[in-house]
Amino acid sequence: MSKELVDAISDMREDDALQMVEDMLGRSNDPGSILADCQQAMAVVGKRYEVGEYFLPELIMSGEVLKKISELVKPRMASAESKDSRRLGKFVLGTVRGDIHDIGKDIVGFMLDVNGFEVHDLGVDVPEEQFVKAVREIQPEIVGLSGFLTLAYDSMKSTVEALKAAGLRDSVKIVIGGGQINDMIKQYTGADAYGQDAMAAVNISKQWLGLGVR
Amino acid sequence: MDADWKKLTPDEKLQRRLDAWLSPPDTHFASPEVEAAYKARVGRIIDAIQLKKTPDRVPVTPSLAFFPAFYAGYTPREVMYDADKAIDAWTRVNNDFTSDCRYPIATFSGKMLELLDYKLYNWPGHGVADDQPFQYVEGEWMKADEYDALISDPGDFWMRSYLPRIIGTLEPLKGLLPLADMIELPMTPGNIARYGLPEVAGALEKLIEAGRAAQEWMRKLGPADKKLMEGLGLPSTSSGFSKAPLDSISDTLRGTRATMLDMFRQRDKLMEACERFVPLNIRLGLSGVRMGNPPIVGIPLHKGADGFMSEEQFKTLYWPTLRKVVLGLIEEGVIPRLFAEGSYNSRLEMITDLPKGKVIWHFDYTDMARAKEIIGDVACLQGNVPVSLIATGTAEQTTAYCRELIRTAGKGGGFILAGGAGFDQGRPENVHAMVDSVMDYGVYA
Repeated sequence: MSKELVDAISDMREDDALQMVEDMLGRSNDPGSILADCQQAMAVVGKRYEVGEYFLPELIMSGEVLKKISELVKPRMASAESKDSRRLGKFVLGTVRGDIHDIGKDIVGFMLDVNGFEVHDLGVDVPEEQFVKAVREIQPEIVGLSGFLTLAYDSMKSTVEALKAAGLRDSVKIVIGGGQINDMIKQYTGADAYGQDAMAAVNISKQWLGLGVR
Repeated sequence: MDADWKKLTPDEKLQRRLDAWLSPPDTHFASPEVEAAYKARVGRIIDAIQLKKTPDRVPVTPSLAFFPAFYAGYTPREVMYDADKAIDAWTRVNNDFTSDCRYPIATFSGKMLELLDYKLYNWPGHGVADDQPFQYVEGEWMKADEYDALISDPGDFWMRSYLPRIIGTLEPLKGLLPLADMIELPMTPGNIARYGLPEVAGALEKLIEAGRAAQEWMRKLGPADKKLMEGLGLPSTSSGFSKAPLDSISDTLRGTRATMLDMFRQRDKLMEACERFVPLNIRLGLSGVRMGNPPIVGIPLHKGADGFMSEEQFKTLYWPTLRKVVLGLIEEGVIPRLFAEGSYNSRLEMITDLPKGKVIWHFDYTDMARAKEIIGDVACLQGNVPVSLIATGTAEQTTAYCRELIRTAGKGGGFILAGGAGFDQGRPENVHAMVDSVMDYGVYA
């Protein structure tokens, strides 16, 4: 574990972090341990976000740094090694039918991924049938519905109903999020929970899987 | 503006504009009663804004986006392509939900957008279904290495780089040379010759068509909108539009994601670009304001909201140039309406340094009671009936919410009841409850 690398990433020092990674790869450091440092750094970033020290720009920036480090590291890893380690659970995510907003969804997907979830992102403007198909095929523990416009309320509601009609509602937990989402909308749509910020999906999901977080 | 205007103080300019708003030129109200109702509405709003005296009651200005279309049984597509349907929908809503403001008949012309091949938004029939409102398309429309080009000559950047990207029809304009190069005879032929290229000529011809479509749409909607004003005595409540400089960069130039990366990678350039936008955004705000129109410039605020950046970043990156725009508009006798989308709970203490009674803060999720406490002495508050309540709640819940809001944010005046954001879907009974609440609970003793 390289404390310097963990600090560089979590302190948003992109150039330092990338230089360190290049040096480490040059010295034939184990690429797997570099990725482990990335996970560690993201845990720090996540905590700082939760206590209100970091905000969306830091989540976006750290995601970018992680992407760049992966590009350097992954080619050096043996194919067996680069397979993702044991995942906490499967999460199907998408922005509902009619809505094309994706930034919030992408951040949530990223936070879930770095926190150990296997994320299946269906994209934007996802019709009910596609959610049903994905749940049937992937068999996730959790489904996340993202939406920013008021029309998303009805799309979320009909997506939940479509899962019910397909006999799949009881096999998943559903969390919703986006702009203008609150407890009233959670009840309106029939979801199990709603998230107010980028880390909410991670915490709610861990709770549901009995991984006791907060 | 004439020489006399330039000699006026900001307060004198504002007073002239307010007087003209109260007594608009070329306006023929249906009757003396209607004219009196118009003046009462405008006067009530002015009193709420200026904080000099308590109005007779809380003004109510519901924020309607595509609500009128759904209410009248039309799709958003229909009201963007069929002027008669747009006029019908908005006429009905102005009659049925009569408040202190006119819901202006001002939908965008889908035909114009099609002729432009407008890429910045998807609209019903083009990228979103017919029954959905238009939506912005995020993109990195300006590249990371283009800050210098933008800062040194924004007009040229717009004409030869930005517009060709966001307006498909204008793509050939990227082959032009800078207009400012044409300062003398020798450099004129080479510059002008580009306009003779088939693809450029074709683009300009299409542009003319789009301009005609825009004119046609305005020629239909404009008179109908004026008829509503004269017939029902309903004022509109803004005539200008502007932006925070950082939003200019983040919303539709670099995009949300890229701007957040620029905050770390090119902070100096980003700040310089924000400064560059100050005079441009003041000019933009003023361009919509004419004598007789409400001297209120709407400024939707996006990327400075709670969660979108730290307090430090707000104080150093977002607020300073926004404040300059606000003060520049006030200098010209105009009232900025700062529509803080999302919430500003962590920003309230940082936005108090503005002159008293000169701006409106329109809030969405912000805690209104706290806002009243912290900035209620300085600025008029507007908002914040939740969109979720109007769309999925009951009339009783809406009334209760409005009553409490009037009691806290409306205490002593300085408050306009409105939505937290624009309503698309919404239950009619809830909009009625909102409008009625000011008569039942908003009359000042």
